[in-house]
Amino acid sequence: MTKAHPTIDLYDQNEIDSTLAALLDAKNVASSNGLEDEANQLWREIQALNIAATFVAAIKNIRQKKYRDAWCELEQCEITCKFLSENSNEDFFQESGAQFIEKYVGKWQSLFPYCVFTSPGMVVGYYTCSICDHKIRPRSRCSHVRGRIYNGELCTHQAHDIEITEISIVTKPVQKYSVMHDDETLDFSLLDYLCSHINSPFDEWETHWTTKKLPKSRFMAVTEDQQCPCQSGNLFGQCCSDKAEIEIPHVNFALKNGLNEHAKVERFPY
Amino acid sequence: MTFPEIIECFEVTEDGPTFQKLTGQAHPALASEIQGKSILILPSHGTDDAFYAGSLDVLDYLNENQLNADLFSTDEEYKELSLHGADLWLGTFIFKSVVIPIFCGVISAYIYDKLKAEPDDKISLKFIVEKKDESSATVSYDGRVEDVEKALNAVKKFTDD
Repeated sequence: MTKAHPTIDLYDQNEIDSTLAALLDAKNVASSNGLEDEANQLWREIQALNIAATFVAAIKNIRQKKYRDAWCELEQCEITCKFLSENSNEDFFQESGAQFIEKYVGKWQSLFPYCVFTSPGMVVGYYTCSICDHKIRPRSRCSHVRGRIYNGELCTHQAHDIEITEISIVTKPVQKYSVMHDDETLDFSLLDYLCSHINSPFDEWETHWTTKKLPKSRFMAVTEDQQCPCQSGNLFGQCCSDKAEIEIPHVNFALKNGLNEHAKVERFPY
Repeated sequence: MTFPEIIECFEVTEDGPTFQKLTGQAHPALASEIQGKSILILPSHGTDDAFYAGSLDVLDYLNENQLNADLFSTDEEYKELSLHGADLWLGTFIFKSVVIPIFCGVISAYIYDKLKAEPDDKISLKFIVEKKDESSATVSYDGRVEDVEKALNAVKKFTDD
């Protein structure tokens, strides 16, 4: 939280809910009294608290192996950070913690194994402005800019007369929540590993994606008709089975606060 | 899991519509709107009536940068195609060769500064240049943003001497 609304317990949902309700009430009062600057500032406070609470909830869900929930919460953080960034100055964005979260959302997302998503294609008849309800046309616009706040409300363009034309399978989705995978078939061990080594969602860490050569004897359990450990996508028997050393993907984590006493420094298999 | 690389499709052909032909086939109300424009954004994706989402943003950006642009649609008929994935569907543009230098600069700034495109992003666009002799050439590009200069350079070759 910012200087105006100091620390609250981000693990206490009741405290978060009551603080958000109080901020929303204050924003509505400011808005109805025409105090646009105050209403806009309260909008920022609400978004900042939502971002922090959602980020903490996401990391909590990773710890509880609710990966899909965490993924969706990280996406919510990403979207809200974008709108807050476009509607606040650098000082507020930094002091509210949103700048840190914006940076770390992307880093956490990079550790998820999701890579195939669905994405709808559609024809939109027309859009209206969420602030003034103006019908947006090529030669007829209102004065509101999409993505900006007006009297404590975010301007969005709302689609009408929608016709879904296709559902595509994509690797770079607009909506990250549209994951196609069955989580039961995926490896979330990078997330588990990191979570077991950090004390707080606000710990700082870095990843270094590299490769590591290991003797073939470390892969005795891999049969020739299984996927090659080098992750080329080929079968082991047609790829690295004749090599003395096998080069596999490897991730180094650097934790600013150091390892905790229970930390296992190296994990294998990957 | 591995995925196929993005397949690049880059093509330059000596054909395409002209301003005169478009104006001739337009509804009289639209014909009057597009009269004298240097750039028109045309319907895309094989349709004759739908524009990529974000076309109005591109239109505004072109006009803010002193390019006299419009959309080849009436207000009533305009509709948008919202397509799959986070790919950059820029659209189909027809412009007169006289505006090539400024158009290339502005559209490049739109891609990198406004859309904040990353080199690895996929972009799809089509530029139709109406040359001085009133014939047209079409430059199509589907591929990575990092190689979009190919399309811009192909367009620049049609600059008036």
